[in-house]
Amino acid sequence: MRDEQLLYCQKPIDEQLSWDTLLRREYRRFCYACSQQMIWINALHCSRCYRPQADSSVCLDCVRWEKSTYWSNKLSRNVSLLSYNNWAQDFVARFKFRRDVVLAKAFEQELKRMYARNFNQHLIVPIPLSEKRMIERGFNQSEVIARCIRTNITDVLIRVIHEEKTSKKLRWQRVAGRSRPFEVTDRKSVMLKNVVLVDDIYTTGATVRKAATVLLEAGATSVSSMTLFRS
Amino acid sequence: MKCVWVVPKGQLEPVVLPCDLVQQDDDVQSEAAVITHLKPSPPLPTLEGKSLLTSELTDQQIVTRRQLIAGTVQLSIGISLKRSAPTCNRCGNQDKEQFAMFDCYWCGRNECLYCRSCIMMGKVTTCTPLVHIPITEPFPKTRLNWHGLLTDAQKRASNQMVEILQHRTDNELLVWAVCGAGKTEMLFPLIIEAIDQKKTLLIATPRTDVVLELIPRIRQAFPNLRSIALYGGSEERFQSAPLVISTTHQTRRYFQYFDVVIIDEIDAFPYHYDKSLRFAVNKAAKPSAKFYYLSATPPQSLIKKLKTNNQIAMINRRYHGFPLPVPSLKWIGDWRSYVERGKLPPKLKAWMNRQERESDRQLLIFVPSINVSERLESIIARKDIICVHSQHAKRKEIVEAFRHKQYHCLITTTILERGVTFPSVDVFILGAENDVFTIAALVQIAGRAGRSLEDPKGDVLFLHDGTTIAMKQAVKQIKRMNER
Ligand SMILES: [Zn+2]
Ligand SMILES: [Zn+2]
Ligand SMILES: [Zn+2]
Ligand SMILES: [Zn+2]
Repeated sequence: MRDEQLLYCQKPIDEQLSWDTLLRREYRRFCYACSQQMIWINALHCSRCYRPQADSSVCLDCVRWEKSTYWSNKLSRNVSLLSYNNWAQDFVARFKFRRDVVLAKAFEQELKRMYARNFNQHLIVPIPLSEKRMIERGFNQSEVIARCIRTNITDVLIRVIHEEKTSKKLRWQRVAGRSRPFEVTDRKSVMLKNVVLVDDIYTTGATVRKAATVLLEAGATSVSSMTLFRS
Repeated sequence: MKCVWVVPKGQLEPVVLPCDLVQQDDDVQSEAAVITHLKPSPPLPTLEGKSLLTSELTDQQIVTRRQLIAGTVQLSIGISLKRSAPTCNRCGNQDKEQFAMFDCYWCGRNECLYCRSCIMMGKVTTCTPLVHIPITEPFPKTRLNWHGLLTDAQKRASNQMVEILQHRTDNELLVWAVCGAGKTEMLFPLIIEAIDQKKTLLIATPRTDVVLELIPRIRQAFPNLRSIALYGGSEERFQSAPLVISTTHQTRRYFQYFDVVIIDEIDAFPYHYDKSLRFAVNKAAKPSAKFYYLSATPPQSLIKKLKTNNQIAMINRRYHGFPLPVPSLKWIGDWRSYVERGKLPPKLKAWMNRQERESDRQLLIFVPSINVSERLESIIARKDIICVHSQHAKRKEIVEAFRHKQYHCLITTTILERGVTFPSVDVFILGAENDVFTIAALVQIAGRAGRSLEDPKGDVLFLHDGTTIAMKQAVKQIKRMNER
């Protein structure tokens, strides 16, 4: 018989027992080394977007978003679980690019708790992938994360143009773009509802704001977002 | 900025890219590393003899299409189900825990399975077609560049190996050789015979260190024979050659490719009990393949199975003819509580001082766990004393540096217990009472001492907090081997 393994690290669990990791909450999913590298976003972060920082004021990025007449009041706020550090990059590489879908389950408890605390009763809407990307990848990572929170989700967004190659542009060039990549397929379902968007990473906040734009136009009362990671 | 090897989408050849230029659809092939650690010239991909995903074939799809129509390559499903028990047809994984179910867009089912065991080589799902490509390889006229002589015992074993390849009847041989019997050299006649018969060889070993140690020796001995080394992170993963030296893990990449399979350390972790690796080696071998098992401490079941047909070759003496060093058992009390308090156990300190005073050799200290190795290193805090373990990023470099005597002492977990040789060392086992030190492990570790003709001796100390049966048995086995 094979020993039971850690979900993420795929090492036998009992290797961990000899040292002082028993009581940590990462137990059974991550090894001690991982739990040392993961940075959970706790008390100190931007109150609008969860960017980790030294106090809980509104960060410069958010101030800039709200200054713009076009973008202000699109996104109520963002909530994230962990800081997007090197460890998180490795995790995303395995989850999204290596396509080890089951890894999302590692954060199931925390996602459920975060949702209940911040967005109870909100409609859960995953950020969609384009058809092309969907065929390449075989699954939508945001939808997988969303379904960890609750199986009943509202998958009403579609992506009409292919994502730009974001890596080639600078942070603020990206923000300025006002392309409209998303459409709402069923307007009735979001009318007068509070919506929370689900994505894997919040980087600049442009993606969720673009999605929020069309949801608000379709009559949603408010749009917030929650992500696994905040970079 | 670190770099990685990637195969860009639609390309077959891997290239080195800085991490920030990697795109989402690139197939990342290596760990991120600094550029100096990645070889500048790209490895050449060869598809022959591999089990591949169609995504790995993009540029050659036309060829594959033609081959599929002609029936020269075989197609199978990624994961087959027999009475709801899944098997991954690439790596042979059958452990239910190592499969996950997901909502698959490709086949539109929410119960598509994928294999987590080999996902690092690209995702295999139930609905993935796997392409198995057979092989045609050139075989050179072998030229042996080795001028040593085999001892009589080595010659006898070597002949037995060659005979099995020449006659059809038997297809298995256990080569039971004490540590330091000179196994590599004994393989040379077998390699010559195999290549002359245009047969492909696999040398599978459980540990990367052993692959790295073997490959230069083999290449030096056979300068015109193409051979490749496969291990996690190896740059030669895309190539094929008549002689492949591979970790057991990496043999998963092959499909009915090898005529001769030599399995080193048949008793070793992880091969000994990992069924999926056994499957991998069997899948990599042709149905008609000959199997050679090398071991200093073979499992009883194998001995029993092969004894009846005289399929065991025995070598009791080291190639230099000196007996194996017999370990001494030394009680050192509750060493663990000292280490946990950040102190060097006084008895260990005394033994280390004495070793340094009275012996010219380097020192290998084996410890039961990674944690102990790291703690001990920081407690001793000496520049010439360093630790190494399976999780250590610089493992290769450190072992190399120790071999070049840049360190006096190496603290290691059991990763170094087998295969790796240093010419002149004394060996301590700290915490020899620990369960990780089985009889086989203890015999292997003791065998690290006295490996060279210049220095055929070496002290082996089992430093313990209570004698175990394994320790007594290990000493008994070593004494028995010396008597023969
Ligand atoms: Zn881990
Ligand atoms: Zn903010
Ligand atoms: Zn597999
Ligand atoms: Zn599928």
